[in-house]
Amino acid sequence: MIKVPELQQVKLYAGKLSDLERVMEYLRQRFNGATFMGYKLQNSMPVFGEINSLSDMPIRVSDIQRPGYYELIAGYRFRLSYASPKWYLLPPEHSILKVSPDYEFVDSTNNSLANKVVMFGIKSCDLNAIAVLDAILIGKHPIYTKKRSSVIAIIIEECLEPAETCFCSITGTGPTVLKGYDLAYARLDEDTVIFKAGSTLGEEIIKATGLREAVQEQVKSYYNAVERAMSIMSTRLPHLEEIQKALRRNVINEKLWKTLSEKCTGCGNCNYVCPTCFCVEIVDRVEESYTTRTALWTACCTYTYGLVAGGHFRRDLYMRYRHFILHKFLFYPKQTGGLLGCVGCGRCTTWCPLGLDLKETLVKVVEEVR
Amino acid sequence: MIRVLVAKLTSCSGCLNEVIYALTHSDIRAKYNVTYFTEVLNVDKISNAELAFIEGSITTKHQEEFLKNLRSQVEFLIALGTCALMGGVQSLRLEGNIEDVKKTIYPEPRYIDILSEVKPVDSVVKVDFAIPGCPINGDALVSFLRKYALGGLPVAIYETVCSECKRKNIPCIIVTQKSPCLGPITISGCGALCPQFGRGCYGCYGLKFFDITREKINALLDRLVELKVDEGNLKAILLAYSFKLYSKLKESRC
Amino acid sequence: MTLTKLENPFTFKRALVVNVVKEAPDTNTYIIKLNETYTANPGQFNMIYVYGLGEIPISLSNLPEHRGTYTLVNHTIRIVGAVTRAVMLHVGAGSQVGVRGPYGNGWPMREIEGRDIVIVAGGIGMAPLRPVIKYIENNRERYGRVNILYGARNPELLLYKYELNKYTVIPNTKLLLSSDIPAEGWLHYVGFVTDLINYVDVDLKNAIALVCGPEIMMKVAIKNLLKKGFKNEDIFISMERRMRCGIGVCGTCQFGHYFICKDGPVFRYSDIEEYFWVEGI
Repeated sequence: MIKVPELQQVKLYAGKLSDLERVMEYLRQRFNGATFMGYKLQNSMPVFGEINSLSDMPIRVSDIQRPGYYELIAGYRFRLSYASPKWYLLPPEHSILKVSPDYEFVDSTNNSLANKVVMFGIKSCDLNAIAVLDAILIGKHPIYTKKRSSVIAIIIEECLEPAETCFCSITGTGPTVLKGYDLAYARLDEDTVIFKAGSTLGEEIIKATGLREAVQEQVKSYYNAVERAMSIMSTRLPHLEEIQKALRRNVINEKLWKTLSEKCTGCGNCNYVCPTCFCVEIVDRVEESYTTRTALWTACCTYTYGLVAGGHFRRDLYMRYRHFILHKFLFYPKQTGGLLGCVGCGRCTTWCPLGLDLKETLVKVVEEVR
Repeated sequence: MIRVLVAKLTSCSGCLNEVIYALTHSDIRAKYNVTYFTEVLNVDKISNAELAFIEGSITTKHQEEFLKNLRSQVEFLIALGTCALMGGVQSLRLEGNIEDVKKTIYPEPRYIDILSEVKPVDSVVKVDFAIPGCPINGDALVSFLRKYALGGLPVAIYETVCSECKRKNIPCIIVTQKSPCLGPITISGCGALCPQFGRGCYGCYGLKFFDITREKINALLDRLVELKVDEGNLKAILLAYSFKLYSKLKESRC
Repeated sequence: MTLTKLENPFTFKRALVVNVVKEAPDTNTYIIKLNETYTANPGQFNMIYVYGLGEIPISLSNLPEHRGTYTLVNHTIRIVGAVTRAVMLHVGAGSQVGVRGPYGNGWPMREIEGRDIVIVAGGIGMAPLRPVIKYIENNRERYGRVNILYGARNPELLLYKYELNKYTVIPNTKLLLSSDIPAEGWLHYVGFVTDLINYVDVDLKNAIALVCGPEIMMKVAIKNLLKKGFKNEDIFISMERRMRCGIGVCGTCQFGHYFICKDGPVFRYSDIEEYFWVEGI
């Protein structure tokens, strides 16, 4: 978990919302032709996509998130859209190969050059999710690798107030960032923005935009807000180690998993909105004179997962629900060299149409041990 | 050329329209020879063929015989659409007495010779492949025909409308609009047609037959009732599009 | 972030099927010609692609055979699903397929040098073990005694019937066959292949076991091997799951925290013990 004192070694700068606009302008000029990607409003619903200006971003709304519930109201505390950077880095459908009937490659998917992409305003949880995807896919998955390599700058927005479904302080993935970013900002109030640099590029941005060092009062209220956010979230779940220990002890507790997944219909929404879920099916889309081998997001909670010709390795839904949870908390760390697969964003809970709460599941698993 | 028969039972011909759409593709026309299709060809005799497509559910004794004969003429039978697979909207009449149902529509009900039940095709003959939908997705049929011509079949992926919604970047309408939606328990294949336009899924592709228990359906229905939907309407919809499964689940005490 | 351009790992080699050998009513061995020098370890697999229909992971059922500019590889395929059915019905001598691989780790041929070896194969599970037998035959001095236990539901379903007898002439090698049910002319054991573990003739202090077959058969095999005195770390099994990419990116072959495609398909039993008995993990 990130400790506040660790943060205090970073120099903070203060500005207004208009300075954020200037940061964007600076980056636009510096990286001529770059595409800006981030959370944006589309038909008054936040999605993840291309941003043309600050006004595309959800800067004048707050999201209310509860299990199975999402609403936007006027405000300045936007947390997350259901969509994460995964929508860009590992698109829901992507062609991996085009083949002619005589087994010739019609068009190699690696030919086109990647654009330059600036991730703008993404949250700490999503940054951590990118690190998880990197550990699994980079250098191995051609589309992901290409898209990931196109990212030339990462600008983070830190949350100073968690949504009801958030628990990033438990997973150690937020709300603040320590590394892996160029510039981070946080909105202290409606118009005041605190900035910090995470790389040479970040320092250059701060210099070029003439941001002033934050005054002591601003520094104090920033750290207070961070601490408050963390303490709110810390009451929502037991410690990570305790959760993991309880999960390990309950792997074979079939009855428990059946109860926990009682209301799960196996729709897979949790998997799709999860910023670290990466599983894909590969299907052939046959056209008149060629076929496109297409990767499609799949979900471990759906029936397909574990199905093989002539049998099924995870026939019952509880087995797949269990895999979803165990994978996030026990298996990912072993697959990624230590990174947790859950970044505490709470999307699985907000976007479950039945309102199943991951936190509740974890608490119940821990209680089973106690 | 692969010889094909196309036939229908009690249904609206909507799926057959998709068969016609599939046949507008020149590569498919080049590989398939349709020898029976009363909506299109002036042929009224069924002859031997490799494939048969069947739309609709069985509601008369005659249809049952017709279907058995059709099956005996072909190697591979494909059931098209919700009526053939689940019963279809005509299953709604099963909630009432058959004689009363006849009376509400026909001035001379005694001429109407129908079964008191509505039977999906697979309750009478063996079905080799199923393409769900109301109507079916024409592109799914095109895909089937192309793969069959290559000697294979589409690899089955079992998922619900939610998968298609998410892959199309459509925010969940239950979660954001509090709109009732049967997506989480409905078979995929439509491409999330209704949610794309901000409307809830009404389950026309049929209830998924995997992972579903009465408890799970009720969990979703309870959630939708919270969103102020009439429970009776929901159940009527499930019965209409998923008669075969839903009636079974309703009776079972599982 | 800079990364050298990544070759598309999904491209395959065009290959020609040069011969098809009927093994059992629902099983054929395809002999495929690759126009290159191709090498693979026993127990590794290829992804076999059939145009427009899909790719399937299939283990190599023989050692790659180098013939000057090209290599012959064997794949034994049983009809189980849409793609294998298409292979069976439509792929024959002269057909093209796509091949990419080899993938996976294969059997630990180096590590087990000097050990007595018990091979336990059930049904189609013989396919990935056949190259092991060939490898040992070619390098006989490096391995100790070999016991091959092979069974199927009935004698007709045994693979490689035309060469099973030849295994018995490999020095210091014993072949025990089984059929689940009695059959006319069947002079071997009637019962499960896993029962044959009772009759192995090896130095148990120095023996290892290589097991492949249906999951239920492997479970029984492990129980019997442990009962017989084999240690957890001396049992290796080859596993199967849904598999789409072969390279650890599609996520569909996960088994606990392992990806069967890149961490397996061969696992040391002691490494997977915690998952192996958990149904549906």
